[in-house]
Amino acid sequence: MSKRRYWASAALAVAALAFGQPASAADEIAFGICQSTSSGSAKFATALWKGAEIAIHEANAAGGVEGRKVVLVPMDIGNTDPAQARLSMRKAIQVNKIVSLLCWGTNVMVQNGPMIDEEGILAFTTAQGVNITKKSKLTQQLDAVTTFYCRVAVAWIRQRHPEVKTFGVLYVNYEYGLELRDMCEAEFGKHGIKMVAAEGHPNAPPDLRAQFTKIMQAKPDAVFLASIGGGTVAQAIRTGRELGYEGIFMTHGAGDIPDIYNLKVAEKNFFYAGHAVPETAPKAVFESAKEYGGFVGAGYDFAWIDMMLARELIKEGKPVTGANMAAKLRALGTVQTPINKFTFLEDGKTIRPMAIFTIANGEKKLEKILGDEELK
Amino acid sequence: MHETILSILPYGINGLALGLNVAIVALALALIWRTVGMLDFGIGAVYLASAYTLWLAKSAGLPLVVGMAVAIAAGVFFSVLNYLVVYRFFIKRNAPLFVLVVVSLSLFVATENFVAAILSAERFYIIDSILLGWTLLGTRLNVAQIAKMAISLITLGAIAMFCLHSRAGLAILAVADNPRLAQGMGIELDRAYIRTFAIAGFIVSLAAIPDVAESGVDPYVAATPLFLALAAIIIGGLGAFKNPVRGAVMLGLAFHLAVWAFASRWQEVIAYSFVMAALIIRPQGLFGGVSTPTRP
Amino acid sequence: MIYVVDVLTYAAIMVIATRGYMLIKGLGGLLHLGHAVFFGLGAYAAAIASQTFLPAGAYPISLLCGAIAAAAGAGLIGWPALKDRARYFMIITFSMQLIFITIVINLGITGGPDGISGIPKVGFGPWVLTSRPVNLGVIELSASSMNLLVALLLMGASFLFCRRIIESPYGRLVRATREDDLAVEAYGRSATNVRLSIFAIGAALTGIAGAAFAHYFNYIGPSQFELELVILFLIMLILGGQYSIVGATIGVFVTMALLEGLRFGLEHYALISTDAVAHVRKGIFSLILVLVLIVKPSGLVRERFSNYRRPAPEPGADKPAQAISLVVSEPAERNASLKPAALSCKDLHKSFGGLVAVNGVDLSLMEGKITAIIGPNGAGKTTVFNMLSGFVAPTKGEVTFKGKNIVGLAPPEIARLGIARTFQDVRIWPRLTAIENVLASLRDQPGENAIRLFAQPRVSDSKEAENIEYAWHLMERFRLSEKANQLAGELSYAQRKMLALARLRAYDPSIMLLDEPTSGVDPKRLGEFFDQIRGFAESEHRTICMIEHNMTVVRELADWVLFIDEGRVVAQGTSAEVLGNRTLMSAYLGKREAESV
Repeated sequence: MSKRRYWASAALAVAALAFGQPASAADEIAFGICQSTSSGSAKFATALWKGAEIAIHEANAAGGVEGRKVVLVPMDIGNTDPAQARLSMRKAIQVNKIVSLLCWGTNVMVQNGPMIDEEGILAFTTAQGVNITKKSKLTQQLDAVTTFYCRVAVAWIRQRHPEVKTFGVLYVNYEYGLELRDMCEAEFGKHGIKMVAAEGHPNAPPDLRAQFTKIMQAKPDAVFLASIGGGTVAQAIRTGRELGYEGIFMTHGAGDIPDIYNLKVAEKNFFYAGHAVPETAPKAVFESAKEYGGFVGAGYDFAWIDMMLARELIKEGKPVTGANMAAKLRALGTVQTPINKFTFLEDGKTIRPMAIFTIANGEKKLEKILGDEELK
Repeated sequence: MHETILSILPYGINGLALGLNVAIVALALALIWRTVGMLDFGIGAVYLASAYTLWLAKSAGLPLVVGMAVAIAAGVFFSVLNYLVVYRFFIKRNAPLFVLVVVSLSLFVATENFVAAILSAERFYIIDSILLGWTLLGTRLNVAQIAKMAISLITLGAIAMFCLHSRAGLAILAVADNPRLAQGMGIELDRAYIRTFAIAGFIVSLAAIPDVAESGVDPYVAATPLFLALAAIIIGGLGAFKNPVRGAVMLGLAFHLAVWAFASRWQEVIAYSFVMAALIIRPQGLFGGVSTPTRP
Repeated sequence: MIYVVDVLTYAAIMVIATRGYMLIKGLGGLLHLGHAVFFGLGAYAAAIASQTFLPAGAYPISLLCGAIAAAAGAGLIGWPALKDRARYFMIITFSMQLIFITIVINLGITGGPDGISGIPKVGFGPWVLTSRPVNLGVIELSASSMNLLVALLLMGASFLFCRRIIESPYGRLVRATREDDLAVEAYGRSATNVRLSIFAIGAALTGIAGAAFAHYFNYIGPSQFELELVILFLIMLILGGQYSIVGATIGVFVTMALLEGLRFGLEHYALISTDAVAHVRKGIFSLILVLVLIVKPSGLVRERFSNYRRPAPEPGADKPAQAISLVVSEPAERNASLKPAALSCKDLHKSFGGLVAVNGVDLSLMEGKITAIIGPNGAGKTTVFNMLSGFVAPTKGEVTFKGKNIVGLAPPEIARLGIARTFQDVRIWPRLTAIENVLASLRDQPGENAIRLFAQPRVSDSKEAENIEYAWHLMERFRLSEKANQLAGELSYAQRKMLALARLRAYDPSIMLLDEPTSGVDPKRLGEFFDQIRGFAESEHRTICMIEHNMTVVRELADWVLFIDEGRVVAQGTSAEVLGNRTLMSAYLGKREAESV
């Protein structure tokens, strides 16, 4: 068989797959959510999906959005690889006709920003990098950025642990960890709390004892854990306690997963900043968050907001496109979902409530919700 | 000077502990490499099988000791299963080393992902309080670390004794050196291989159990020990079984001393540069040894 | 649909990289587990170059930078990895990839963990690709289609390049080195250099692919060049068939089709919960790979071998193939004892650890004469040959050729002086055809040098045509014409032995060391071997030395016989003298055999 025939058949196969599939029916509305097989993201990716599913099922059970069924499309981004993400997103956009997507990963979002704008998709992100929304007009933060996480943490420290005068940072040696370290140094510094130690670690460290030994030499009153995903947070807390560290441990949303809820060692002198899922939230979400972590709420919010925007557009007789949804979103500005109240700014930044949690009895315990006034 | 020694001590001791931890898996890898002639990434799958079995046993309410026994059995079982169901097919057909590597890697990746799909990527804990520990020379070592160090040294000794003094062990070594000759002398290749995989599975579960008891289990726990073990073999070489152990200890020390001497963000660079340097200077391993053995 | 175009573009770029892998692994036989590094080096070099000194529209130069960076990486890694006959190649390349990522994440110039973004798009001179459609006169192409076109053009060019390499004398030499590097060295070529060159060439091609990727995706980051990519390359190569350039192409498309197909299949038809799709996709993909390897272990496409056409028989008589000899030989002289020895050794010793293999051997080989070395097994005969040909260094003693001591020279150097040998275990190159075995050995092959192959194509090609014609002459002379295009490994034992002689003859050495040239050959066929060997000595005036166990052969051919036992020359003389020595022969052959000699 000549090589040309091989090429032709291979190309045909791919084309058949692409065109032969039934695209989403015209009366469906589709949203995409990223999925990843890398150890860090895999943990909260499930939570996002579960939350969105709850919202979708609710809506579809009640007849959909103005009679149109809502579907979720998974987008496999591999190892949080921007190139893989581009392929997945393109496919979801062109074949499944999604109008909005939810994804994470600083590089994934930044590098695909232009494509998102070009295709006119409203993209929400739970990546906390401050510069993500700068590169894309249609990308909106759903989570707080690193600066805010640090601000929330220091606000709590000042309220509950005023004795803390120095702190250290254990960060993952990736762009995200570096940003958290720098932001926290600045935010804590504003209130006179000095960063006395900062140690980096690779993505999947075999152990953190070396780093901790060094941090402890500086005797910080508190340690901020700036890791990707939840696994390293648990490891860090255990290691620190074992080596005799008795100060406060604090972290960002990486602590908002069951890995941490179930960690007995985290029940003392530990808190994290995360998303509140109040008891007034739909019961299904509340229960699911106990099992999968706080990002269930974010997933729910994403789907709920998207559906709300779609509904408004349909009522106004406008086509449901990502660009229209984004315009509507910014026009509305403030949105109250069954769980949270968001203020979506034009530049893609978002003001949203954050909460402080500690761990008690194998569950997360809400200590306080901090509204925007406290965080400005 | 006194201060320097004091300050370096915790790094040295922890480095040693990490090294001996890695050494266990390195021994298993080395055993299979020398006898069967393949780089068995499937050991990662065995590690996961053992780890999750421990957790499942504990969730089912079994006492920890029973759980450990079951986990060890699982490790042995899965390792042998890998051989019987997958590898043997390729070995019998004289598949090249390349293909065996790809197959074992695929096995590992498949296991990781199917476990994540079925049991979720969440981390489950076995023991969730701080482990008991003792302070040695100003450094605290917990019971899992000490267990791993002990296991490592005992396993090394046991393998040496087994291989050099028991019939089955000598058979395995003979097969390692010259499979055809061994066959000609009546040593049944298949049985020797099964025994090898069983022993390797046993060893790997001995590494997985304390690890998992200490830090919990999720689908990704096997990757790091596996690659560190590989690095240890590269550094140490394979000539005698104690070589990968030495290599592992040097690697562990490199990881920790790098943090003591430089910034911790350079930890990986330094440790792997060490690997690279070892390769450039002495590719057969710092302590000498066989690399890619001939396959029958 | 842009999605399909994107997938095809990505696939085309991966094809180029996989072809580079094929050159290294399939052609070169190097077990290379760090291919992602070359791809990454190419990508980073292009990115850094484009951001520092390259102007816009310098795409081809950027590709060149990628090629150079990757080739340099290959040189750097190749040197330690190829030591000791490349025994540690696999491990070294695997760790190379572990280290590459770590270094890239931690350096400033590579953008650290953030990677490098804003890499310019494809551009040639004044024209630079933007997001607007491109008007090509006849048609208008969208930006993505333009990218695809460029990628396909590169892919086509890489195909031509690879095909040229594979079908050239250089490609043949690389394959020979893959099959048996010792034999390659015995015929004057440095195996390490050959391997290093193909490693660098394969790397360079992959570097070009990496550079193309950088300009296509406009962003690169360390997470893209990790173990996942290595595994992907491995899969693509093995699936397609590592010995075929077409296979490398198909492997990529099949793998991509599988991956994308799984993407579709799993969401629409899956019984699994959708949040696990990514994991299941990866898991199923891995299992399918194993299945494919079970069913088709050598991949989808098998190796293709060049079919050499026999030149048309010349009008006129069937001339007996006259040796177009390059050996400037003097007419045989009557008074042989006045001539200096062609090759001699004095007081040759060799110990391996505590074992003394050769314990003081002197010998002199005369031009035009056949010397036989006989003796019991383990007497040190082959070790002597190994020392004469440079494969083993003597512990003591000297070997003299044309008045100079050649001890310490590497085997290829000694071979190039005109001293060549055959091997006890034959060592023809099994996956080269018979005629290729002969061709590969010929001395004057400008096409064997990769640079000359491309710089002086006409010279290379015309000389190759000449060589092919000459090779056919040899095949006829050694009565192997019928088997010329058959794989040497498939020939019968006797045919392989004859082929070994043909290969030796093709090299045209003045000194031939034959290690058991007739062992295992059916007695009925011995006559052909006698004719050939005698012809070497008498008609062609070469110097022959052979190790033999078959006394018939010795009696028939040898002008001079040395009996070596326990590393020493115990007796020497004419064959009548030595073979007639009853005591000696009894001890050597046993009483009954001795009587029949």
